[in-house]
Amino acid sequence: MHYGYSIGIEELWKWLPLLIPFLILHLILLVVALRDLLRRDLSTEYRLIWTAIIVFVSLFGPILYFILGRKDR
Amino acid sequence: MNHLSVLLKKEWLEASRSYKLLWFPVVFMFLGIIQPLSSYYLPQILELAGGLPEGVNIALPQITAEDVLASTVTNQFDQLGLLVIVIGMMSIVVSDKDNGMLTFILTRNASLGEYLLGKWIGQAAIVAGAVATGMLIAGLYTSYLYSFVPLSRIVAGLGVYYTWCLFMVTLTLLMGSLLSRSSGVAVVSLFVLIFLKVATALGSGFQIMNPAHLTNHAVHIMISGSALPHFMTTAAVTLLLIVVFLILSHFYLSRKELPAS
Repeated sequence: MHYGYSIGIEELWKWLPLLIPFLILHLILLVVALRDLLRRDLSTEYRLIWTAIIVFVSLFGPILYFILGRKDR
Repeated sequence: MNHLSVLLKKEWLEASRSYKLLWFPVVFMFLGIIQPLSSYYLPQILELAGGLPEGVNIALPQITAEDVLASTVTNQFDQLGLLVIVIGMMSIVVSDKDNGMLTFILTRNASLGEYLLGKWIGQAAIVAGAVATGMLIAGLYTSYLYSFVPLSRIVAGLGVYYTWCLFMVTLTLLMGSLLSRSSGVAVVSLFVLIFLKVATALGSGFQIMNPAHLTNHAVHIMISGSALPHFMTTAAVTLLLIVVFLILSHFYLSRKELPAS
């Protein structure tokens, strides 16, 4: 019995060209959100929490930051 | 109308400072990518996720390019997209009321109508850009993975769908001027919009009066090239409601925010 995911490397290669725009968009959001977070004058805890959310909540982390994180300054 | 251009410039500045100009289109691009990819690779994705139990056979339906674009609109744009539009727009008037910007603008000889119109045009433009880029990406992916869908159909469907988006924006704007907390704005607008959307599933005669029914028109245009019957009625009702909402928010704000003179 086999559990979990298994992706063969050659399969990944086949998908990669289609996934690249996705990754680029994600990277742009990530970099912009992090840059904005670091440039602002905030407490260390606040920064750590939002950095974790931005980096680890895939796809919607940076967007959550833009919606909720920038409000209370 | 010189005030209006200044207010529009301010909207633009605000949108770029809050990165809305960046993340709105990007979210819709994500949504546009997800649907074609996931429907094209559904068999492989099922297999990767552990495969089906032995003995289970699913006949996956044959999907055409038009179906994929249609489901991009109904499954992605109309669910997550709707959520994003409302949440992104929930604080547009409320924050101006809270930090005194609205009063400040009104002391500068700009009329309330100009202010509301500026807000509305600004947000509508952002949503238009976002939905159009999302649809463009979805169109590129479907034409690569499936087959080419006539551009005229995509544009026509998009135009019809955008009218429903305008309705969402205007409703959120109205709620923003009626209520004083952005969370309340989001909850009420989402409730109303999702209620309208669910009501389209009932599919009886009053649908022609339902703005959410425009999505079905848009989908039908994309798939078959022609709208469902009574399209003009739905569009007219929606546009009328948009105008009524704008007038209503103007009426309410002018009574509430301006000192009686």
